[in-house]
Parts: sequence; C-alpha cells; structure tokens
Amino acid sequence: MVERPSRFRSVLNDFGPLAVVFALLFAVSFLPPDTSRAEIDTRGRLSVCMPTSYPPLVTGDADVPGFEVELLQAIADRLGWRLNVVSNSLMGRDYNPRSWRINRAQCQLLAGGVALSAQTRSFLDTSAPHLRTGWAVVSPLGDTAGIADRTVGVYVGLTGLDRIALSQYLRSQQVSTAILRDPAAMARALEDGEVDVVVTEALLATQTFDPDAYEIALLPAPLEQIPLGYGFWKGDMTLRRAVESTLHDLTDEGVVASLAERYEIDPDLLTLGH
Amino acid sequence: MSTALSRGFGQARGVYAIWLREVKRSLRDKGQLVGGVSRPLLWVLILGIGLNPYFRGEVYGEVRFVVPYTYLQFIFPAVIVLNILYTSIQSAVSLIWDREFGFLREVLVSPMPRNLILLGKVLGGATTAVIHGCMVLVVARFVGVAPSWSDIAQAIGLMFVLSFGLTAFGIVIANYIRGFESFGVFSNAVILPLYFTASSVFPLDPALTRAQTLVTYPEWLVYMVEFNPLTYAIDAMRGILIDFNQFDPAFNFQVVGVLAVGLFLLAMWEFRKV
Repeated sequence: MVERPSRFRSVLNDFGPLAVVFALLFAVSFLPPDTSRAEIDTRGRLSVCMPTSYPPLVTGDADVPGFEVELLQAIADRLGWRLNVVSNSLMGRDYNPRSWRINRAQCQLLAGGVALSAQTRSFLDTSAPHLRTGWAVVSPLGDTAGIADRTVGVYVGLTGLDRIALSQYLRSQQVSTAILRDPAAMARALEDGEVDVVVTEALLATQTFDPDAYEIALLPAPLEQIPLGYGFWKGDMTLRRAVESTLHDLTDEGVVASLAERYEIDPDLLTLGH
Repeated sequence: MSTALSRGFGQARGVYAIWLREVKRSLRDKGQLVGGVSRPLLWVLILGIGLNPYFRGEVYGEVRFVVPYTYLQFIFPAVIVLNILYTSIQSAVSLIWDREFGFLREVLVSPMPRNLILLGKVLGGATTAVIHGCMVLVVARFVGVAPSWSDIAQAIGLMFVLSFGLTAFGIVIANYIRGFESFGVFSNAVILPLYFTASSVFPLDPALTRAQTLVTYPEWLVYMVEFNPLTYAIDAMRGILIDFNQFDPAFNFQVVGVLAVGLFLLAMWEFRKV
C-alpha cells in the first residue's frame, strides 16, 4: 500500500521550491548594481559641480559657503569622503545644460539648485527633493493689495524657473514691470518705493529680505513650484542610494533643519522630513 | 431554485479543482520554476547591468537615451511581462499533456460545461503567471524602483488580466499543436518576436513627433511596435511602476482588457473542437 504524504509534507513540496526561489531573488536584489560608490570609496573624494554663486545654496564665501555646500560637506564627512567643489560659472546662465560643459570626469554629482524636472531626468538620475522653490512675491508687511494693476519689480537671477510662464502670469495681472539687475537693486527698489512689490525666486527672496519687515509668498498656480535635489549620472545607483540614505539620517538628526535656519531658508521650502 | 444553486456551487467547485490542479502542477514543475528565476536573473542582472554603462550619462545635456530613467529601470517592467508571457503560454502545455494521457477526455465527459473547464485551466495558468511576474518584482530594489503598496496592487491586477488573455492564447496555440516538442518551438517563435517588437528593450520617445520617430527608427519597425498589443501592456506596466508612459495610459488598459476578453472568446471557440 502506498503511503500518502502528510499534509505538511505536501505543502512543503508545493511551496518549498517557490519559497527558495523568492528568497534567492530577494538576496540578489541586495547586490550592488554598479561601481559608482566603490570608485569614490577608493578615491576618498566626492567631486560636486555647482554654480559659482546661487545664494543661499552656494555663496562663494568661504565662511558661509552656502546651504548646499555645507549639507554636502556633512554628507561627505559622514561617508568618510573629502568634498571637492567644482565651480561652474555657466550653470544656470543658459537653458541648455549642454552649454555648461559638465562631464563625468569633472564631477560625480551636480548640486546647487538642480531642478527635478522631466527635462533634468532625461539627462540625469536625481535624488528625492530636499528643497522646493518657485516664483515668490515680496511685499512690505501689512500690504494685502496683491500684485494686480501694480508696479512690480522683477529679478529673475540665475534660476531655471519658467520665465515665460512668469511673464504670461504678470501680463494676465496687468502689472507694469520694472526689470531689476541684481539682488541689491531689488532690495533697494522695494525699500525706496520705486516698486510696490518684487517678484523673484523664493530661496533668493528669503535670503535677501528681512522676514520681520517683508512678507514672502509663493505665487499661486499656474506658476509651478519646482522641487530641488541632487543630480547623479544615470546608472550611478549605489552612489545615489548612499547620498540619499545619509541625507535622510541628517534630516532625522535635525542637521538639515539647523543648516536651513543658519541660511534663513523658510522651513516651508524644505521638503525632507515634512 | 435550490437545484440551480447547488448546480452552480458544484460547477464552481469543479472550476476550483481544475484551477488547483493547474497551480499545483506548475508549482511542482521545477523546469518552469527555473525558467521563472533565470529570466529575471539573465535579463535584469546580466543584460541590464551589462548594457547600463552604455546608456549612462557622460556629458550633461548630451542626448543618448531620452527616457527619464536608467536603462535598467526602463527594461524592468518589460521583464515582468516577459516572465508572464512565457509562463502563461507554456502553462497551456498542460492541455497537450492532458490530451496525450487521456485526462482531458475524462474531464470532458464530466457534467462540467466545456467553457468552465477552460475557465479553470486559464485561471490556473494566469495564477501561476502572476506568481512568476511577482518573482521579477522582488528584484525591484536592485534596479532602483520603489513601488508603493498601491502600485504593487495595480501591477498585480494588470499582471492577472494580461496573464488571463495570454494563457487563453496559449490554449489556442496548444489546440493546433500535437506534440510537446513542437509546442516549445512554436511558443518561442511567438513569444520572442512579440516581446522584442513591444518596445521592451528600446523606447519610442514620447517627446518626439511621429515624423521625428520615423527618422530615428525605420517605418516598418515603428508600425510593428504600434501594432503589437504587448507594447501597450508593457507601457501600462511602466506607467504603474516607473511612472513613464509612451502611449495614452487609458488606451493601454483598454487594449489589455480587450485582448484578455478577445483571446478568451477565441479560446472558447477553439476549445469546442477539442
């Protein structure tokens, strides 16, 4: 007489091989898919391409080098690397990133206001956003008249935000515009009353204007808010994972928030840990 | 009323029995399991990692692979569909097996309607194919894809509908084939061309106009890709897992739904001749 296998044995026969297969594939998912992190570990140096100046993210001042520079320094320290900042004066000046002439030999990471747009993702792998920005309107405290039918000072700066959308929005609000040439001129124009309000990029606005004297608000839709993060070369997945995981640790420990406070970045513009 | 109810209950138990037999048969088939593991390992680990450096960025702004993801992430949803395609069509080999050993005759002379016998077989094949699709999902971490639970649920739903249609298609093929060897050759002759012409390993860039696409690829290849219904299944899977679509997402789901229903109706028609 043939003995029937026990129920346990039968289940084991049916699902045992399947469980082994899933366990094998799960183990495989922990293999490193590339050598990008290993290369930096060997060299001990992380090279980062950044614009020469994009306050408050990059200032060019050795004492207060900028939010992004200090944050990347903290990440590099945590991972046991030296940080090598490669300044690129062309970044942000031209819409076409090809004109910036950045290549893999110069740096392993791009920072200093990398907009996480579909266009950027066509060329680079990107981290999760840690900041956001957009067009902001700056008005004296207590001024609730908005921007419609008023004189608006506009400073676009180096930002890669959509200038055409801003110009369409301002036209729709029937404002008269005054183009301002630098942040100092922007602050002066508002202080002297040459313009009623100022429109500029949100991070720059928080850096330029005293929050006790001026109100800064992001302009509403259809003007979009752009998430900012880091750009990695496509395929450098192990480096991206290492940087992202360290960034999350630093956020949890409050390092990111304290850096934001040091650079007077509005906590609402921080996207990690919120 | 109670007679109809008990007959319906009896038929449901019959469908369940056939489904269970199909699932158990495939779980105990070590060859099928090895195939289910080797495809993700070969396609994702070897091909994906092997080709990844050729698609990685070297110069910022240089267009080489205009898809906002890495090559590995791009082919990942296609490998899920490949695993489903193989398993679904090959699970229909049980029909040849059952016919060869007389089991099918015994089932066909039972009081179960033929369509329900077919339904049980197709559901069994679809269940196995979904399990094999999930094997690929397990290596999502390796390729840097992090689907949410909702994405996973949607992906499994899509896998099931697609598997249902493809298993029905396998039954149609098996109905015309008399031996196991011919089925293997014939199924490969169907599977591989279907897979390679489904935009599985190269993208039709959605940012390009049709005229630009026809400059990038020869016209016959673009037509083959657009005519292949599997293109839309892979695109739907990409939409769910990496949020990237080359075609209208609603149209993708419509094609997969119509394909499943149409192929099942065709299988019903063919199964009448068994």
